Amino acid sequence: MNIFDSKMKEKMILDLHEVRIIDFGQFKLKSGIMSPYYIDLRLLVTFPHLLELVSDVLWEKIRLKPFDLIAGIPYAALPISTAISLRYNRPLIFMRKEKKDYGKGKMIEGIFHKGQHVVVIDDVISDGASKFETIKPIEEVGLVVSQVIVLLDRGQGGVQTVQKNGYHCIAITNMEEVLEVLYKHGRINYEQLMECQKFIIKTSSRVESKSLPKQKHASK
Amino acid sequence: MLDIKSKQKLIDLLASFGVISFPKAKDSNSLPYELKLQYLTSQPKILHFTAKLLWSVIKKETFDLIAGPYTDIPLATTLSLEYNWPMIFIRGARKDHGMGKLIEGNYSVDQKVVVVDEEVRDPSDTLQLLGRLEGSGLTVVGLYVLVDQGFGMLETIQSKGFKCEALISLNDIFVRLFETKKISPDQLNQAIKYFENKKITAYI
Repeated sequence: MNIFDSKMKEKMILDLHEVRIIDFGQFKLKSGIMSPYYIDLRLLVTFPHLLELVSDVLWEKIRLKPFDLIAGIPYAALPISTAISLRYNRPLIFMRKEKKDYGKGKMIEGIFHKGQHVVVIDDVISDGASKFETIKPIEEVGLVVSQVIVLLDRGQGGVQTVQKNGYHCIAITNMEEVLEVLYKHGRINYEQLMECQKFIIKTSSRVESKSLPKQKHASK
Repeated sequence: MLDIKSKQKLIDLLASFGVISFPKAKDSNSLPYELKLQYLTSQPKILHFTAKLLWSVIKKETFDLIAGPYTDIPLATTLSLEYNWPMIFIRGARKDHGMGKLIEGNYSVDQKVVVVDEEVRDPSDTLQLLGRLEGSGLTVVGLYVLVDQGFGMLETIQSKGFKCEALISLNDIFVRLFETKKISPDQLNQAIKYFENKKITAYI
């Protein structure tokens, strides 16, 4: 990564915090646990200039590998992939979350042909399970997933899981880096930094102990 | 409303990319044409052009935000990016984690919203979307759609007190296609016949 990239990334993180897309407080997650921070990239649509910045940062990674199509995943990543499609003039295909009961009932919309290479773009990755749900229908229609690019790695081993299954997977940034940048620029204080880091360690170790129960036993 | 030149250009573009096609009709009850608006998704260039036309109509309104449902065609996102206008998304269902919102994006009560969609497929769905916006304290200035397929869909929305306009109608499409000899008189007649039957059922 060159200096220009990391400067752009730093600006992106600071801007996302400015408009409270990266927010600190007490938030209930899907799993029911409380989190000291929350990242809501769906808010991006209200800030077109930020949407462009995010798509530029993603593009710096996307352009490194040849591809034919960009796949947009509902919901948060859709506007991001649309922005990339429009800014860099690449065709977009659209994934459906729910099958509609009229029309042709296709899961993927847009123009595509068998054998084309697809870049899958998503906003966050946690344990990676939802990425396979996305990849499966793409491969079922005869497309090739050449890479999976996500903006933020939540640090729960998702990137590694996707890589292990033979896909090229990159996360632009992760939570540690976000916290580091925000702390460096005085956006969060030391207590907040510690609280968030503790939370990250707690949640990531929870995932590890779940997936590797035998090893833990042996070490005891 | 759009001027005739822009309408014609839009229809030509749509037709040249296969958005409007005429499959062989199986019987008199099946649609004589096929409108694949979702093809726009994979055509950034037409999307740009469509957004330009939409904007030329919308800009006469006074509004704070663009609103779009999560559908096939990212029309609202295109408008927002092209003209640097803040936008909000209307969700299908409420999720029970995170912020639990029906509308995604930053907005405040009493802001004015223009809703952009590809077409009105089902008036009750569309009214539900508009209701979600109004329920969140926003004011709906108007609903702008790309195509009006007839069947009285727009009129239903209008009868509920919303302003509702379409860039082009099915009539525009058929007239233009006939003018440019993209369809034969037979095909035109077939379509007219189909709609004559349809109108009766639609009004019952």
